[in-house]
Amino acid sequence: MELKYTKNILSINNKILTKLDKFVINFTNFLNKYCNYVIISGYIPILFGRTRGTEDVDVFIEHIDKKKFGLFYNDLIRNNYYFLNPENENGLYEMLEEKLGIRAAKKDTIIPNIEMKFIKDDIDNFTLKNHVKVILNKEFNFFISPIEIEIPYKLFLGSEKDIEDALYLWNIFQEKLDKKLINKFMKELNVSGEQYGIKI
Amino acid sequence: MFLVNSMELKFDKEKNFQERLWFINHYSNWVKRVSNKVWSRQQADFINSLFLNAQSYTLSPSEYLEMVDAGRKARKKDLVKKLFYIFTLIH
Repeated sequence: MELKYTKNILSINNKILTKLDKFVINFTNFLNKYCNYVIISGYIPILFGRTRGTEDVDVFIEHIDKKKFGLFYNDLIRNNYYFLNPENENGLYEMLEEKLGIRAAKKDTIIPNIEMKFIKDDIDNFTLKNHVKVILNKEFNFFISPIEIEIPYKLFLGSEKDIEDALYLWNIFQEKLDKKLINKFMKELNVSGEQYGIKI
Repeated sequence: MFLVNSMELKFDKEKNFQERLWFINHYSNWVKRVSNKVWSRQQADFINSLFLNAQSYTLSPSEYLEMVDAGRKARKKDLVKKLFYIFTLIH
């Protein structure tokens, strides 16, 4: 695998794009127009080669006002997306305000879908502020969570799938990670990956 | 009898998990060794075939949301248990 990971930029070239990658690239083109966002969780190990399926892509977005959300909503609808939730534009915005996730997909499909939430706490805020720009095949850009947060967070979630994701990311990125930062989040979330071979 | 069966199941589950961790190590070493074109070709074939199957998904959006919600509630219960355990360790 050839990839470059400097502080806030991660570039990967010559990747044959999956349908999931193309879906993410397309959707983030809309997000880029309206708000700061960061992709978290399951899509990240998949982007870097983990071979497993996923139904959804999780995204944190910064708090935006109702008017801006309306513009974003209408842009998506005009471009063949719909929301799986039965709520209308106002109801969806209220859900976001209540820190609930809302899901969008391409018309007449359910999978894959994007689940969006407003950021809700300090870790979400840190993740958004320190997002990493992915440059894919020198052509496409979008933002993901720092790998240093993703690994402890996956260990914290703790399902077998999450631990496998954490181990995979560790194996791929271990020489490139900021060890101080990853340790900080390991401590904050009170997790350790030693028993799985994640030895920082 | 029930106890013996559940112990056997637990043992198998752990063994299975260890085997999967072994596979993650093996697979990630391979991904690191080969060019992006090689691993991403295999990955694209696999993931694209999953999405092809997903086109015949029979659930409606509301049924899908109910299913996701039920799974999330179950995971949340586990997480609360874990947080409670961490809390008791700290205090």
